[in-house]
Amino acid sequence: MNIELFVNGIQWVFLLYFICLGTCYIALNISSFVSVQRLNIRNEVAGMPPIYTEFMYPVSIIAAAYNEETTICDSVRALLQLKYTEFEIIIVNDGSTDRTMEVLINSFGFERVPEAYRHRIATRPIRGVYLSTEYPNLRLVDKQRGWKADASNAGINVARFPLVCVTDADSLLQRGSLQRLVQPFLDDPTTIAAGGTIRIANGCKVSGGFVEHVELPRSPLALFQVVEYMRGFLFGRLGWSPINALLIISGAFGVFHKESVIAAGGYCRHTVGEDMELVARLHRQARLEQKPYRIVFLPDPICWTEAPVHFKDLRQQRMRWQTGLADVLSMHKQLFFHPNSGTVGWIAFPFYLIFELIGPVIEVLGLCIIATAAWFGWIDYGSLAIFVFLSVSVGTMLSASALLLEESSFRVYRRFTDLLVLMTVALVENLGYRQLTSIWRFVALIKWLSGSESRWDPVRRAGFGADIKTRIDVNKK
Amino acid sequence: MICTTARVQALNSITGFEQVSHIALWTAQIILFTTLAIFTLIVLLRARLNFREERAAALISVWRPVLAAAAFSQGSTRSAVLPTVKKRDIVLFLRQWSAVQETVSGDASIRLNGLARRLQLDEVALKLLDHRRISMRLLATVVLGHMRVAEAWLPVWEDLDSQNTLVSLVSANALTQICPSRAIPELIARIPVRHDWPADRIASILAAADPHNSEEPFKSALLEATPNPQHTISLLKFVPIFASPSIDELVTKILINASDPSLIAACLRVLSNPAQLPFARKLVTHDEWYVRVLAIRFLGQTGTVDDTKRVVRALMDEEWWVRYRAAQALCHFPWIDLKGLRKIQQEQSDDFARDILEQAISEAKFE
Repeated sequence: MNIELFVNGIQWVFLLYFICLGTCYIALNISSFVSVQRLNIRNEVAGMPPIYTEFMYPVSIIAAAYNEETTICDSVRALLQLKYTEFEIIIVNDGSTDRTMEVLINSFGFERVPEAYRHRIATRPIRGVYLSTEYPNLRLVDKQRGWKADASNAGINVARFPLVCVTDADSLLQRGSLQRLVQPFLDDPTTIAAGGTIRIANGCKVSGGFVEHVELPRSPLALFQVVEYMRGFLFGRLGWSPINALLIISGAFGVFHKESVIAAGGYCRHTVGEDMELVARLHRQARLEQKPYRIVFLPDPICWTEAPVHFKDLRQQRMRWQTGLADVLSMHKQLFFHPNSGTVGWIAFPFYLIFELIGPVIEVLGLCIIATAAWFGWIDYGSLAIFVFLSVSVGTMLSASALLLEESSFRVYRRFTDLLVLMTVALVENLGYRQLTSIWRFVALIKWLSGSESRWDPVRRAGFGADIKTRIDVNKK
Repeated sequence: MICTTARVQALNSITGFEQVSHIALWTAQIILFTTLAIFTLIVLLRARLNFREERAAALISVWRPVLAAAAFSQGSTRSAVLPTVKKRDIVLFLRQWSAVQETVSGDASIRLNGLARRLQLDEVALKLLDHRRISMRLLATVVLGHMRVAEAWLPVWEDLDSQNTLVSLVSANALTQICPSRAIPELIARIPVRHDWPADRIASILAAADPHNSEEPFKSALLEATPNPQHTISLLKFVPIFASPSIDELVTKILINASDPSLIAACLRVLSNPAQLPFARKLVTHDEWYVRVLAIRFLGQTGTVDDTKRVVRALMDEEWWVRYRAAQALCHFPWIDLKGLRKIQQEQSDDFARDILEQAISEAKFE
């Protein structure tokens, strides 16, 4: 009888969990829909006074690179073509062991300058600062290996402008995306950070460092990630922005108020979730000091990135994300229900703890226990089927609502067949893929709890229109 | 282990499994129907989009040559028979017409307005001002602004103080098109209190306005704002748009009387006249580094030989930015050549001063 009571209890927990999860996501969806409608109206109206470009804040774009000899030139050329009034590009060579430095020096005519380097944020030693003889707004910082956070901090130290845009050397920004991401800083001077959407570039036609034609990837794994990213960005992040509780700005594309980042101590070098950690720290600093501030997310400035297409790489990525989340929630536990922590400490943190961090545990254990119970005859297979049905329905509904958001706003994928493919993927991803990622996240959490160190390993990427090759991202430890 | 159906049913009834399963089933069914509804909605939205795009393409194919002819040819369309705009296409047409208007100016804009009047778009837009959808009202405001419809002044004016930033900005833009002499003073008067108005958008309205309409109201607003440093700061950022000696004089007066470092910095940011040099010189030793850096920057832009010593002293400032701007200023002074810079560098006892000058000299070579 005890086992049966236990199983019954588990079923209730499982059911209540799904109902709560659904309710929270519906609330996020509503918030996202309101934001998207506002954005639609703004985009529809042609009669806004034009932007007076002299008032735009100049931006320092920081791109960290580690062993990027094959792609770095295209990436830098693409950055140089960005549509923006005044910006500088700072490439940080994070101790590459390949020909990255040589390629950069030869391609852009870099010459070493005696920079009076300021250690405003502590970093690994700088070997030299270079200026391009061809492009006055292009600089190169050569430093000892310190990983992505350290490289970004070095870039922030040498940045001249009040706003810094942190991106990856292997990501592709849309031409006008920087201008869009800077707009919140002009609209509201209390804005300290703004993040844009990351989309999957696999399958897209890339030319001259820009995505020229958007197409869906052929790899099923990449297709699943297209829907996953839509869900993650279109309501997973957009929904938090109106209540100023956005916790993640992707390391691949975010603009920050430089002095706020420096005051917070820059990127943390002791976590694999340094992008989320910085945002959480910015929140904590402002909330606890009760300073007015905004951290916003905009869905239309797009940065394209390449999704992993191998299970091993995807597993590493997902486990790293989960470890990063655990790090962040643990490092900033002071924010949980702190009287001054507002929506971040009272809504976002508990949500991330229950549904994002512990969620995979509940999902995996719940399904295992119910499957075991069915196997041993404590419940019938009908009940098992119902719970699997519930799990799939919730997952499909969340993906469907992300597709609806996409359809009512940006419509990046223009073909009708693309739409049908995405709808199919929204259903199919719940029949194995989602459970698989949950298991990876569950394992990552167990590893994190046991204190084992997370590693950044080389990720195989196909490259934008290139042959399969191994690229070691600057992020990978 | 193989269980019998009877045993499972008995267990279910004892422990309430059935109850949980029923709730789960109902929840899953509701979610499933919601999902199917969302999928249907997505398909309908895409179908509607495709239909609209086809309609828009058809409209554009007919009207683009007519609009282009109206904008760029001298009066040739005045007597020409215009294609009809179907009632259901009127919003599409208004958008298309506005989009063309945004790209032209002067006579072309006037001719497009003539075409719009022939099509009685002003009447359509006036009616649209009462539409329940905000996007329609905004479109109407935009059209009425372009067409400079005087009758629209009052209803558009009511939107100027809307709490919705977008509505108030579109209204402000339209009002400055309808009657700039009335609208600009009202707009300027609101700048200090409308913290939600992005400065870049307001700047573009002020930059497009005739200085005759904007200079005096701006001066008055600046004078009125003087007792409140924050209000003054919010106006000061627009000073460079006017490039007016009388406004520069006013800025100098504000600077002389200012004690708030933020206000001093705001004044220094917009100084441009060499006559203001004496006031900037006094500030190179100010307590706040952000004041010092702006003062040094101004000296670098407009300073004289007499300022060299002041700037050289700033090379030893405790703040990196002050040192950097001082080094840049020295590199840009036309009376100091590379030899002179090296001499200054050698004379420095402070390592930071020597390093920063070395950096500035190296960077200057790339300019």
